[in-house]
Amino acid sequence: MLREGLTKAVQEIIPVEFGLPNGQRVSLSVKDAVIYPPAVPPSSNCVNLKVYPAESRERGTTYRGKLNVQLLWTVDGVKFGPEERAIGVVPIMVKSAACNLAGLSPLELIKHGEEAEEMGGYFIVNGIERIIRMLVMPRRNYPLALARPSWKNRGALYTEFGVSLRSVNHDQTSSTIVLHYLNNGTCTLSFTYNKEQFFVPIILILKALLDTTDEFIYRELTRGRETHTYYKGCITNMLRQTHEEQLTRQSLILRYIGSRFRIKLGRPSWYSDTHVANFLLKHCVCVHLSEAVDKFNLLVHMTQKLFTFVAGECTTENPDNPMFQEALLSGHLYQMVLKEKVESWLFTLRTRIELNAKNKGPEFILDEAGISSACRHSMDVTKSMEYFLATGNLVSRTGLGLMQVAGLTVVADKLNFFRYVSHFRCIHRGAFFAQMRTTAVRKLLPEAWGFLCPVHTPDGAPCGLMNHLSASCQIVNVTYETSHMTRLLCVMGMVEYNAPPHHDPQGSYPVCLDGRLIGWLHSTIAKDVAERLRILKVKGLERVSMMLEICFVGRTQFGSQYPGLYLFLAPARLMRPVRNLATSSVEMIGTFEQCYLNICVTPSEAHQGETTHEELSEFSMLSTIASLTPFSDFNQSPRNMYQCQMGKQTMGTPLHALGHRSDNKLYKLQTPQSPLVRPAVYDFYHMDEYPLGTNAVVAVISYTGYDMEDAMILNKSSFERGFAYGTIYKSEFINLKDKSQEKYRISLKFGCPPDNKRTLGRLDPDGLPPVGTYLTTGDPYYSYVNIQTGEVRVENYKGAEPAYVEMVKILGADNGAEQLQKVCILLRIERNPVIGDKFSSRHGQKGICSQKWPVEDMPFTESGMQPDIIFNPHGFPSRMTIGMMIESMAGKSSAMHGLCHDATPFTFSEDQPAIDYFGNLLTAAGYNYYGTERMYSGVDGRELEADIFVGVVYYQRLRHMVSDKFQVRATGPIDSLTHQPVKGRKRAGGVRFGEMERDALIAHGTAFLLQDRLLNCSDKCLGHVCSNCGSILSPLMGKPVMSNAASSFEATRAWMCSVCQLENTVEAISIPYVFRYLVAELAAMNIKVTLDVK
Amino acid sequence: MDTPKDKDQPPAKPQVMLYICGECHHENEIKARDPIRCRECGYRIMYKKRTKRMVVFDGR
Amino acid sequence: MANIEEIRTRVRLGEFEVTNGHTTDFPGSYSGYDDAWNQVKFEKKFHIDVIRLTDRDLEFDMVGIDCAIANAFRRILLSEVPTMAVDKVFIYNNTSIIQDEVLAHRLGLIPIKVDPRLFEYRTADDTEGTPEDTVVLELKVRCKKNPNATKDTTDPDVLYVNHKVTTNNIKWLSQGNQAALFKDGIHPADEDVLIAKLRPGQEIDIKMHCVKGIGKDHAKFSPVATASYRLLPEITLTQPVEGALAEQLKQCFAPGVIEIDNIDGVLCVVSVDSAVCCRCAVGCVCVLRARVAAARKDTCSREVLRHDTIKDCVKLTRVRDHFIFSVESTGALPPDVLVTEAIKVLQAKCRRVLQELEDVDSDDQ
Repeated sequence: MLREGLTKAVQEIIPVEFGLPNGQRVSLSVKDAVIYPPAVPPSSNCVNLKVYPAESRERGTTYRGKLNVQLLWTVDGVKFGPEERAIGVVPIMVKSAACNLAGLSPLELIKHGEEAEEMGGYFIVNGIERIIRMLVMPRRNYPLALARPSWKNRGALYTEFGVSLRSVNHDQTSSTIVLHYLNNGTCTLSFTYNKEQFFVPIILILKALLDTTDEFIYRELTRGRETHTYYKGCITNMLRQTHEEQLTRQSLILRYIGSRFRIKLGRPSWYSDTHVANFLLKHCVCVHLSEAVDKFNLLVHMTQKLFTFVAGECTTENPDNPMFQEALLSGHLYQMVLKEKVESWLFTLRTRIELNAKNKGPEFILDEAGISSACRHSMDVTKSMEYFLATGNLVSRTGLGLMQVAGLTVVADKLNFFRYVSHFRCIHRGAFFAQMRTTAVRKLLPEAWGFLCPVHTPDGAPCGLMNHLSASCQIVNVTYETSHMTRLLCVMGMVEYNAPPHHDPQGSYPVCLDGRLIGWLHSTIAKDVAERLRILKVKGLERVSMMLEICFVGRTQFGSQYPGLYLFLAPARLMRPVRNLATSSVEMIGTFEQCYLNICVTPSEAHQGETTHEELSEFSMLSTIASLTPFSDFNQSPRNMYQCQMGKQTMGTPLHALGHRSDNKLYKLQTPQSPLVRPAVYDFYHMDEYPLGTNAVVAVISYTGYDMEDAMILNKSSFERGFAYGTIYKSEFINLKDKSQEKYRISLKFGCPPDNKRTLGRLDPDGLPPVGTYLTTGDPYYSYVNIQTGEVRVENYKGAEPAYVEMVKILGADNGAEQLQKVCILLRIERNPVIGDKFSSRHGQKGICSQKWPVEDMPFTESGMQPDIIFNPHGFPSRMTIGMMIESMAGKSSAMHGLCHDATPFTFSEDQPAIDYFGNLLTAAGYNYYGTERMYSGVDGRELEADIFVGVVYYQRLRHMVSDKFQVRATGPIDSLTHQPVKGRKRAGGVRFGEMERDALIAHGTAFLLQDRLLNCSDKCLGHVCSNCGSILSPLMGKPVMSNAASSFEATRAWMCSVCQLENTVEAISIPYVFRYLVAELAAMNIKVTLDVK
Repeated sequence: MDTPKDKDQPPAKPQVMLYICGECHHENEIKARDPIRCRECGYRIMYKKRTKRMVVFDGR
Repeated sequence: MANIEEIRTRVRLGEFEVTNGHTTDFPGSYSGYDDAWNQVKFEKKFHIDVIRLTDRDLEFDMVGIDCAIANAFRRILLSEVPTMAVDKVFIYNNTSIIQDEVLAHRLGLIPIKVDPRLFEYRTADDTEGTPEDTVVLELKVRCKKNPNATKDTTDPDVLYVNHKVTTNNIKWLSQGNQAALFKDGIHPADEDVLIAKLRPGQEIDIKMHCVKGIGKDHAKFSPVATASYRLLPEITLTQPVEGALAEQLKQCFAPGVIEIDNIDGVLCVVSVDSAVCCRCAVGCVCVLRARVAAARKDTCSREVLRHDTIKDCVKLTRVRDHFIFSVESTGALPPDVLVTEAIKVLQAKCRRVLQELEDVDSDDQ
């Protein structure tokens, strides 16, 4: 994508033109750009110069390659160049064409420190994997009829009606234009340039585009609407207005527009007004079209749509509807950003040249040497591209047509496969909508069926805004050839758009291909042509792409969508496969065309003669994650949503190439298992490569009293045998350059004299801990020596939990010549289950481990089995997670019969109940049909009266662990201003005892406790108050008696009120320290506080 | 009982610090202030080699 | 009277629940019964029958005892009979893929075949250990490339030497006079338990201290894989079940629980097996009747109670004081020895209680 897009993008850059003091007219432009694969300089004398992503991750560097451009420049019309210039290094997407991993086999990938099934698609910035997240964008090149009340505020006469068009150039840069309807029956076109908005009457633009007669424009505008008198009046009126302004001919209008936009567009002084106006039309109006005729036609189409819309003959279109949306792809955004950075590089080049010219005066003549020196001194794009990817903040001149400037990239968190993969399938509506008070944007619309997963969206703030693509949904990322489509359609019966109007336009449909009107189809054949085109698409005949979206909007009795045949082939659209019943082959359909197709889910739903398509599977609407929930069709729907969330927080197997990474924190389950009960897609995604849970024997019983409120009990023996054992891997980078005071010189080195008293030989002579060392808080961690002074500094291990040193990596520099300054230490922290750790089944049933129950006290079954987990039966009635019960039965039967059960949703039905299927399997294995078992109490040995539901359920261990969360404080740091305890776990602070808690204590009448919490354990202090004047500020300590000054302790010195000059009136009281502070603050504002002391 | 006695004692001098190259797995001897690059292949990342040193664990 | 007798001695199994699960075996529960404990009566009633005994498994019946006592044996077997297990792991080197602490945990769980009765408990503050309380084991493996391996093979067994670390690699280091005491040597209970996998260049060099401990402290000291009991099932046919119903009844139980007899009195000519109907085309006079052959084999699935046609023909009960014990040893000691040990532990506990009571009495006086 970048291969072709990059060239296009840099060629689209508007040449930077400026005049020099000597009168030279300079124009700078870029012909081409190339990104080279990441490599180290040849001077490093490496066997292999290529840099692979694993190295970037390990060293905490950016995976980037050199960007070179072909610079062209013109001086007074004489062309120079192209000359190749390096303008920086830019981050490279892993496994893209420019990546060194492109096209490698799994075996080679492993050799280069990657996963066997590395997917790529992200960038590595400072060792961290970041992805540009997908954003929802308005569908490109389709005029959208909108009613926005806010448009009324745009000026006098403005109404809420308008037709908005987001047009996207072939280099993916976009600009939005809006055609507004005004109350006096006229239209203005609004467009933006450099984030500034402009309004121009539509007729002015139309007339500027084509050198034609008013009659032609009138005819074109009224085509098909000849009978609407009001409409015709409006058109005539608008045309008349231009005449009143004396703007009759194209040349006049161009000059008129040019003179008014000259300053804003910032064109060089030698441009004529006509020149400027043409620039405006080219870069601001319908940028996706290059021909003026096409722009004219589209604007006419938009005007007609607007008037139809205003007249109520077609309905408003909802921009929140996936039908009118597409995705912003990471490659497209990257390309846009890069284009702009190259553009600003040209600007800095210009400033540099101008600066040089100014310094040298009029005798400065721009030559090759001048360009070269300017290039050397102009800023490169390295920093800004890295900044964009590292922070997700967009620093842009134009804004790139986006509604947000922050949060464009996110870290691709490798917690487990679920979380990782969902980053790539996530599509966000935009940060702007998160602030909106209305919930309309969050609504799941029926049009999203099959494209956006109805289950997989977080609950809470981003609910409905952050969606995930369904598993089968694809996004078109190839630009297809469209030039042959017009001819093909003409053969099929289409009349060319600007052909003489010999046909009856009222009975014709306009044909629009990617926002370009290409012709008319007569209503008698239109539907037929659309169907024939679909056959061609499905069969791949006549070079019709399978990614073509054919949307035939027919006329209806009452106004619905604006009729026409809309064809889309542009990239960034959402497409998904369905089965075309006519050809019984797979067809890709888009969001728009889906609304005009009749798709059945199962063959039994098909209506003869109406249904044209069938879903490939019943669960094709689900996302990757949602389709991995077993028996999700049996669960209450919110539980499936919770599972989608919790699956992403599970400790599992994050990756295999552990030694070749330096992720900040990785959670690993020590003994993960393959689930006994799993949906068919589990094997399709090779989830066994990255399992994330354990099959546990679960008894549903209220046994100990410790399993109330979603708590669950773990069998102590299961735990001791390794149940749900986990480890955290932490990487820490230590860079001596950051510790050094000196910026440009190396002043520190790692090292530790063996006789150092602090380390006692626990560090190696290289100043680093030996591999396998056990570290507890305060142990020597590493040490370094100041080269000049020879001073040794030993740093201690600061982590609160004991850790083992798994790996010590010493990291060199790109050129391989620098001495050791940076190391990475990989630590291993044991995290075996403890009371308070969170577990969950795959059905949104999370729980906290409340006890590790001794095995002899656990209930046991007829066969002597003791459950690993005790689950409270009260978790079932209100949550209705029947899927978990079925999984339990299925798990038990699969354990007995030695097979894995398929848990794909929608496989069982009322006629073939899952309960019966698994019940019979259990009976065959000698168990009770209902999955229950006889149990004996482990404590007293009697048989329990009730039957206990026992089965095997796949349990996930969630990453929320008490060790990360517990907070305890008896005494500790206090705030220096208020003397109250500080807050925060990290600072050993307290938990706030707030107003509502205070109310509770008051209500209970527990005065002593109240005083203890709010005074004694907080900021109690001894204060002195003068009972005469009531002030707590005036009592001061009396002067020491001079005679025995040496022996005058504080205690012997008397307090005296400095106002009353009395000693015996001062009393000691205990008051909160903040109160004293408050009194002092008030005193500063001249407010006296008097205490009534009795 | 032959419990190891070398627990907290510094290893005998002169000790050579060995590092394994991340690319060719060649063992390199690197002294302080040497440039960090593998003598065989010129690679820039090296892992510290685990040496014999006793650590006690609870078998539970 | 029969009803009370049933309540006293049987647990009744319903489709979804049991009734009479509780013990009533104490004086005063029922009028007319003398439930006071009596040594003679107990000795007459109580007996233990060993059903099956192998070197790892034991199944025996314990009849005529209260479930509290039976449960006490089960609990003691699980958590209070001591064994020896690896507790301290001294890792000198471990360059394998498996992490040190995980390896130590795995080693801890390996059952060691050594009689714990010959050892003392190690004191809490002792780290060195003595020959009386510690067994020292060693695991020292280094993986190499196999020089004789054929070039095209991908089988790790051929390519490498010592790439699988198993319990076979664990060597015993005799301390003090242990060599004289343990003539057969000390080694893990099972061979070929995979501990870790290695690749050329990797090595494991470990010394381990095995100490005596009980399952209550850690599961690795538990001498049994599991020890549990169940009550003897009893199936009573309340009315004769014949024909198709008999076949249905048979299907509702585990194989062998219900047998079908041909009871027409006339031996079927065609069929040799008396239970199979001859299915003579006309005039077959076979009468097939179900018979409870081995109620012991019933798994208590209560499948029979789901079928309306036959649910009233059977009564499912259990004998309240008949415990079918099953003990699976991990290999340190034979299962029968374990049970004896468990009894000794219980005896010791009883003695202690008696002693305490005596002490209390003497204090009072």
